[in-house]
Amino acid sequence: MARRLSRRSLARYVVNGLLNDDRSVLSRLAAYLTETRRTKEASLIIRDVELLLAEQGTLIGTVTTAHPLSDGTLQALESSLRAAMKAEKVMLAREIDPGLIAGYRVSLPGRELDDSVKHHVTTLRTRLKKV
Amino acid sequence: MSEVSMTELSKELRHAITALETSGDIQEVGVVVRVGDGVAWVHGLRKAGYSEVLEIETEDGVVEAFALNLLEDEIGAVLLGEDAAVKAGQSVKLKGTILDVPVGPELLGRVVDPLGRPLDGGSAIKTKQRGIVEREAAGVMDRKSVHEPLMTGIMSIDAMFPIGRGQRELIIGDRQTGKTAIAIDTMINQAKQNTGVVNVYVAIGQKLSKIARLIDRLKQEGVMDQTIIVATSPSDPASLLYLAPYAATAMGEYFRDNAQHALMIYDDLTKHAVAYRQMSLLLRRPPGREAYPGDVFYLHSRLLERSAKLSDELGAGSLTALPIIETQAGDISAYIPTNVISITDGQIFLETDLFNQGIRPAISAGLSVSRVGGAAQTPAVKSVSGNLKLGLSQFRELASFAQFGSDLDEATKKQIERGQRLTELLKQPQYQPLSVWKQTASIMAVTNGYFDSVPAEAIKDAQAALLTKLWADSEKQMKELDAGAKPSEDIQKLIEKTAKAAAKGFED
Repeated sequence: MARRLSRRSLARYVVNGLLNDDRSVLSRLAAYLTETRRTKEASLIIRDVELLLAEQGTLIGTVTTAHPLSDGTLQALESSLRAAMKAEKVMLAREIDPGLIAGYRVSLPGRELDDSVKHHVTTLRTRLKKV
Repeated sequence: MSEVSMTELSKELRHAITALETSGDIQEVGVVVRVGDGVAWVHGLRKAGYSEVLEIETEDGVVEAFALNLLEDEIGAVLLGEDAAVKAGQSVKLKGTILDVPVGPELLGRVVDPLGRPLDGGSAIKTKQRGIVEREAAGVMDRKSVHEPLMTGIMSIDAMFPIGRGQRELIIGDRQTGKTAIAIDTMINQAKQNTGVVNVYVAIGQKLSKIARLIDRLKQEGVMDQTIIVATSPSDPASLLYLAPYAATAMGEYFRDNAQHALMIYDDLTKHAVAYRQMSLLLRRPPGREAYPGDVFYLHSRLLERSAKLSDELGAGSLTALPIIETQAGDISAYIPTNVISITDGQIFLETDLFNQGIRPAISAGLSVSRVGGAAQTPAVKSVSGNLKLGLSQFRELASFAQFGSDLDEATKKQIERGQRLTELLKQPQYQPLSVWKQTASIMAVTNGYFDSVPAEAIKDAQAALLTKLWADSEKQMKELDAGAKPSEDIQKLIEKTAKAAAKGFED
């Protein structure tokens, strides 16, 4: 029986492999997760990997908007995030969620920039409830 | 206004708008991995600190939680609201603060929940200050020894187990033995004697009907104006029950730190320990004795250590604590009772047998003790109650022996009779706390033998007659005695004379 390793240790192992261009770490991780019956944790390990990659300067995230985002705006957003987060590389995937009403939400590993109308409405609703 | 200046103004405004930065801010976020039974497990938020407040954004608004389990891979957070709206996948943010509650005189007369939200239907509470819920206790150099009395108005307590300001005195006993009644009478006495002590009553998982009755009574007695009630009911989440005493202590500390005096009543810490056990088991902490977690002692010790008498440099304020513990079948050697007994500076033990015999308050003279209150006892009461406790304990022992035979020598008979009179005298109806002069005169009349000719069943009537006569004839001297100083010889003679005269009307 394989020793139980924490998710963070596994993520660190995967990141080291990826940074050394060793793609076989993923199949080794898959084998380990299957053997230790932890396949449900795969998504959380991916999150940890993203977090560790972000620490190394590679930001992988998504930008969600209510309406389609133009290429120019996406590039502008990426470059401003690169400066703000002091990252070498920023890769943002586009997502559409009409539920945001307007504005945008950028989800980065372990961080978020939420300037959507939905977020402001929820905050306002909570404040009103407290009063 | 000229045309030119308007144009300039509009230009400036446009420039200011373009120069404005976006309001958004990149915040650290985590994600809810799983949720259930009031506990949310969060992935991410590596910078979260112990007891830090987290905000979970749900469809119904933001639900707050506080981090209690900081593990390598995830955080165990206890929700401060209903968990129905919280779902896996929702984002969690750090609020950037640890738990705090509103504190200040604005809370007086109010009924609030452990987060300081009003429960009495009154207006929103706006205080100038907020107090940290989990605050460290005052250090050694910040304290002073307990030396001022905190009169409960209950004769048996003030005479035998005096409580000082800054002391922690446990009230312990089975269910339905009058534990809360002692606490309420003490609160009422603070208003009746104008001591200026602020009462903070914490109901931990108490029935709402009981809390409503208590509030009614406090309003009737005019005590509510100097009282804060922090209420939680059995249907509240365990997290709120756990927070209630800490939040209430923060409210009491405001008065302590502002050179005032406050009295904390924790009703009761047994339910508090049970709520903490529930939270700990749900957080998967290893269970220990009686399934309580290993830090259940620290749970209560860090709470009660915050009660203190502050030094003169810090304003000489005080925070007195009357924690309540409910025992099962009089077993004071159970886990939580022994813990709290060892933390506090004494305990008042209430016995079911005494309660059923009609001896109320049902205080056990043998098992109760006050470890620091002697130095704080009112000199007037102290001067007359020297060997009251010993006498009463000896009487109860003798009385149990006397049941086996009737051939007793004269001295033993006398001791038993005096003990019976004392027992009768110390019976006291609820909501009728006695002032210093009443206590002094009553105890003096019985312990000095002025009421020796009065049968035990007529003692209360004789006491009433004595007090009425003393107030009617010698109001000035009684007011002097009420100030608390040791009674002068003249006053002693006056009480003796009046007591002997009062006794004549009740002789066999």
